[in-house]
Amino acid sequence: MLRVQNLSKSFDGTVALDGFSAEVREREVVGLVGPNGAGKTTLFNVVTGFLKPDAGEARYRGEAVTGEPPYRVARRGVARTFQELRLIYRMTVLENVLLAFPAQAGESATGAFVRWLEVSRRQRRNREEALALLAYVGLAEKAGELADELSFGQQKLLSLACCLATGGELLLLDEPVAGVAPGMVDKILGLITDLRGRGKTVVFIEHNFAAVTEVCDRVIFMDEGRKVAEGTPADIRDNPDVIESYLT
Amino acid sequence: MGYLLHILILIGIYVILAESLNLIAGYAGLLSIAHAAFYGVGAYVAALLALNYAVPPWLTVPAAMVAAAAVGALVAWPALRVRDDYFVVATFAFQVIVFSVMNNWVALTSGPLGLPGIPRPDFFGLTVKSHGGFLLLTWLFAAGVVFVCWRLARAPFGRVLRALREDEVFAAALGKNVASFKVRVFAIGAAMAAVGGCLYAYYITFIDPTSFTVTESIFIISIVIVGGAGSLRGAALGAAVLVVLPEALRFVGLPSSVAANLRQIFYGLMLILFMVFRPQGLIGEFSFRRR
Repeated sequence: MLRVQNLSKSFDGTVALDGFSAEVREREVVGLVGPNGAGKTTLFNVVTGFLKPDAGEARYRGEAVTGEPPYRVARRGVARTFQELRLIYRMTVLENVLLAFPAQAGESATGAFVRWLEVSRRQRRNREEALALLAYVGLAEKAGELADELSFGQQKLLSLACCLATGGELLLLDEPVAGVAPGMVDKILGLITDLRGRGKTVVFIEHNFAAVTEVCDRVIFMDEGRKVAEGTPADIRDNPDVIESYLT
Repeated sequence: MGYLLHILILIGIYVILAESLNLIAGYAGLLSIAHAAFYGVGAYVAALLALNYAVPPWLTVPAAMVAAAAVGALVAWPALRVRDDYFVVATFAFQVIVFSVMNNWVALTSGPLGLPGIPRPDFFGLTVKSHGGFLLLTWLFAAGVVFVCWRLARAPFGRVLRALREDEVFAAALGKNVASFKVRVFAIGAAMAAVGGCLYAYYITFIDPTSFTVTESIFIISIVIVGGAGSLRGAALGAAVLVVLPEALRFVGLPSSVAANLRQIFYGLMLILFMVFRPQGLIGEFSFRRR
């Protein structure tokens, strides 16, 4: 589903990605782990078009996405969350989800005036779907609140709901459970597991190895922009290179 | 009576200018000080077509809107590359360029001499001459502009604009073509500002570049900020307040030369006070001060 080959990227002499290659298959849950500065977030940014790689390419469903602007990559079906948690904080929870729906007729300027029947029917349907998504992630009662008023964990759930609303099939989640309360961690991990059943493919960055072990089919361990090891969570945990990387 | 109607007509024109800028600056968060340039393009296109080719107003207004929309899309272009303070500077530079063209392309615009004798607008045999007629005309157009802004702001289009002012990166990650939205909102806002320009040209029957300076742009953005950025009612209220309040200076017995200067000081002071003490404006929801 996603294949990246020989991706390299450096910033002012600091190497973030160094000939990184990997593949993600459909309906897989892949954990991307590694120490800080290993290049995990850079990898997400390159795949989603926010950064251009110095070399190499990424292909989504066989088509090259490197060099495309972020909105195009998103429209192809790659949805992502951000480590620093991006949302429109002064909009309601419901509006954030509504914003995420793709190709809305009402988003054309003329759509506000002509074809209003189609536009309003579409908006009504989006609204129902948005409420269903919020119920799915457990934020149904928060629909009318500002995103700003949610707890950190709830905001992470909301960003997940936004990803789902885009209709994206490959979800790149940047630290979905970092910094949230233990009860919320289980809930988010439960959702990630459930998403596979809904036909989604998930790649997520996480430092919490227990969380990774719980939900991942496969783990890719990165360090200094390279893939150090790849395998089942148990393989990675016992891999001597990984142990060394984490200890040194 | 004529004076009162004159003030009401001015309010109508400034409602148009403020609402159209509100779409760009208040909703999309693109703080532009080029709005008087669009206003001027509208006025000049309508005046030149009416004067030189006797084109009727039902054609000059759409022509002015199209011309200003094209110019607006052009201004949005730097907006795709620069952000925040740099963007403000880019729009400022653009405003200066448009003023220079009006002032120096004498063959087309008569330069500083301006264009006198703009014919009264004639709508299918019905000529608008009186203050009352202009009041009706202006407020009809103002109502139209408010309606357009209201529909756009409420539509999913407006939701994307509000998303842009907070987080473009998030919007792009959700598949929104940020560049296209910026160009479109500028084109639409500029086209509506041009309507204000047409009305001004027909009403005063004389235009010159001094009506479309940077000072005018700053006045229009002041209306948006004082009234309340991102609020339709705010922009309309701001227009009424900022047009009416300085008029009060006339009645406190100051000589007109002093009153004119005081007016500039008054606007500046008002802007500073609002920025410091009430950045969201009279009834706005959004402030330009960073979170």
